[in-house]
Amino acid sequence: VRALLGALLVAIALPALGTPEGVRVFERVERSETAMNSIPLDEWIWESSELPHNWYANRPDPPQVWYRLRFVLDHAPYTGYSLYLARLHVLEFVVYVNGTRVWKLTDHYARGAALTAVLIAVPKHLLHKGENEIHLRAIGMPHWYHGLSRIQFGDTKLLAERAGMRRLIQGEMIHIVAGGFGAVGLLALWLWMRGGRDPVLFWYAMSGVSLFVFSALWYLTLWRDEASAIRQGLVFLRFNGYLMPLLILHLRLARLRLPWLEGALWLALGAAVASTSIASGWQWFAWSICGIAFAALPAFFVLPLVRSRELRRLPAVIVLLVADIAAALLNLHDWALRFGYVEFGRPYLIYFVPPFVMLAAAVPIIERLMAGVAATRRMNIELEQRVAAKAGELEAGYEKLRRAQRESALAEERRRIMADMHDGLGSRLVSLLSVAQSGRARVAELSDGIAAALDELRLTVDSVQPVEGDVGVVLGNVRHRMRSVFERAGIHFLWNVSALPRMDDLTPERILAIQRIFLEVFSNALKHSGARTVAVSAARVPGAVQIVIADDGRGFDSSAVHPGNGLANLQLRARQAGGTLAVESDAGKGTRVTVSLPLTDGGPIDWPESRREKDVYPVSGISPEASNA
Amino acid sequence: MEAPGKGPVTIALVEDDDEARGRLAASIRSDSSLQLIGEYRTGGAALAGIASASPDVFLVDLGLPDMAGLEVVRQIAARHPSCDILVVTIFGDEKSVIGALEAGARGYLLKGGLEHDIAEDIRHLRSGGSPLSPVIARQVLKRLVPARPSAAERSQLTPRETEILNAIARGFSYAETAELLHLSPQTVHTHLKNVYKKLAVHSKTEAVFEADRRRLL
Repeated sequence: VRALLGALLVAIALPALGTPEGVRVFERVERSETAMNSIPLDEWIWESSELPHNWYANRPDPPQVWYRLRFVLDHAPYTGYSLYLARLHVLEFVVYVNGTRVWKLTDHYARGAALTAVLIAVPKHLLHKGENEIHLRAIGMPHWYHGLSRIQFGDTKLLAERAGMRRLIQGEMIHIVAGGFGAVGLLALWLWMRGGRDPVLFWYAMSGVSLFVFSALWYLTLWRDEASAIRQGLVFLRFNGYLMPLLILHLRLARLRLPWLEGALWLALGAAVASTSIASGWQWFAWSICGIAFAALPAFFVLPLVRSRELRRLPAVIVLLVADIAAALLNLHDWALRFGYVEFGRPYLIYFVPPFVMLAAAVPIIERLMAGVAATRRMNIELEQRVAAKAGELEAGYEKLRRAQRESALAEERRRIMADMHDGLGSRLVSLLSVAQSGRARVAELSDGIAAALDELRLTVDSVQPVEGDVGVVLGNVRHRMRSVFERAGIHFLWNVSALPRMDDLTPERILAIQRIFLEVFSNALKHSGARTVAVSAARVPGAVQIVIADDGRGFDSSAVHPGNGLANLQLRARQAGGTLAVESDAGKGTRVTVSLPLTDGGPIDWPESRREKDVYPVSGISPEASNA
Repeated sequence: MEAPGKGPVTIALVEDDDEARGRLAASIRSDSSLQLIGEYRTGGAALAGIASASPDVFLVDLGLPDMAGLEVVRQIAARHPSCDILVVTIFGDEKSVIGALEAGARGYLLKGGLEHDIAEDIRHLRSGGSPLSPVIARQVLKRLVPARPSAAERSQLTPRETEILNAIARGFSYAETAELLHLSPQTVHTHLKNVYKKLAVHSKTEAVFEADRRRLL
């Protein structure tokens, strides 16, 4: 923006800059209005005229003006000389130096150069010491304003610099700026297509692109051949295309949604472009529309001021105000320039309005964007807070539920343990007490009874130890408890417990039942069977975990055995453990007890070890010495 | 661990119940390879007495009148790293045993009915490690090995230690475990001692982690 403002100041100040040494400036010229197409004689009517000179081509026949410059050179030229015209607004232009034609310009408008500087080289050999004479023939368009700026004559190098600067400001810079806006416009268009379909973004994109349309031709250096109607329309669009979007921006800033008015404005712009495209005779229509639009600008400006008293929109309003004032001033300047009220040589400044307008348009977009970002952030924070609150509520609810569940489980467990102690430990202690009170109790009997009661108590404690659904741990624990008893009895184990599937429904009640089965089978083996070896294997079979306890003791004839208390008790325990039990025995062939615990859903047990295959240990290699350790 | 024939194993014990203490002492005295050098009734007395006595084995009852048995274990383990601390418990349940192991105990003794068991168990423990019940082995595994091994949460146990604990958790005796894994019983004991150390360290780092989490540090 600062660079643009600087360029603008330079552009305004440039015509007022001093004239460099070696450059002659013609402020007066002799003029002759004649249709003659060869140089008019000295005797013809020559009027003195001030430069810059504006003239209106009001005649139907080829409107033409001849200019004559006379000057004296002190010496024959020893450097390159040129004629420099800051601005030349004619259709055709021919230059004669001392009677010889040196330069001819036709269809000046078509070259898109009507507003840019003209630098005409004067051949050295045509100039001589003393009096010299230059004739200029200017042909205009009927009913158009034409003009000639002050003519500068002198060192080519110096004048070329000036011409270059002028071209940059009036011709090229606007294209470069327009190129930038075109790119921004395309970006805005892409954003508009991508999301939101925000109308402000759309017309911002349209403004940027329309500004770029004409410049695109300059970029491509195309369209140099004719003054086509479409080109005229594009030129018009280039100068005035931003005007309607600007008015609509005013409406939007004022929070006014008036589709009919917006439509009418777009229609007017379209009509203006079309009218300039149809024929040059309709130029007045297009320019009138622009004039009305500019006249309406202050009214439109008042709207946002009146309607939006919110401080939040103040930056947008201020930027818009600056853009409006700039547009009005620069347009006023150009209007005056066009109709001859200011010095003809001055540049058109209308080009420098679009940057202001685009800036003014960008401010509400940025503002909206920022507001959007802020709103999103606010919403995110709010959402997070709400989620956190909800999560807290849920957590509290779960906690309540968990506590209730835990309490109910605890109560259930307490009830079970109490019942268990009542039936097991309690009844054992009662019978021990009665034996002790009878006074004829033997010490061995009593200590056996008390040891059994202690075992019972340990069993109950063990049943609530964490085993994580692993039957293997339950079996191992029973073995561990009975280790010293078995060692003393000289019985050794063949232990073959492989990795077992996890049983999530292994409750303390079931664990206790399993432990009791084991204790009973083990103590049978210890006390009655006379076994030397007890083999325990536990493995997964389809749909169940199967535990087999076999001894090499005396055994019994299972067919002859009437369902006694011991066997019935084991069956009851098996049912409590949620499984089935089978006993096979033959006299002299040992006893084999098989317990099956069905699996509800059998995944492999969740061993915290990666090398799970190692879990299946063979037992055949175990020596009696080793297992007795 | 003492080599056999290097003189009797010196033992100190703390137990508040006079009768129980008497039984323990009698059991130890009855064994010629053991020498009782200190009996204490309270944790405070034990800590004071041990400072000069420096026994090979120290038996601690967990339920003491003046201070928690675990605290006695923790202090003695810190001051006498060479002393084998054994916890005496009725049930050998998971909670008290794991707590004792984490505090620095090397094993536990079950208060049984028959006194000679105690002396035998002490000799057994002295000659290599303590018998770990399957429940305890399972809990140690659970504590030191993450359920799902990931890069961030590595197992604190070596594969060998994990194998040993797995076998013990399924009821295999030490000797069987050694046989299964083609190791000597001595190696199994060494591995288990390392596991105990890791358990104690683990409990400390957990405490630090917990303190850090609660912004206590």
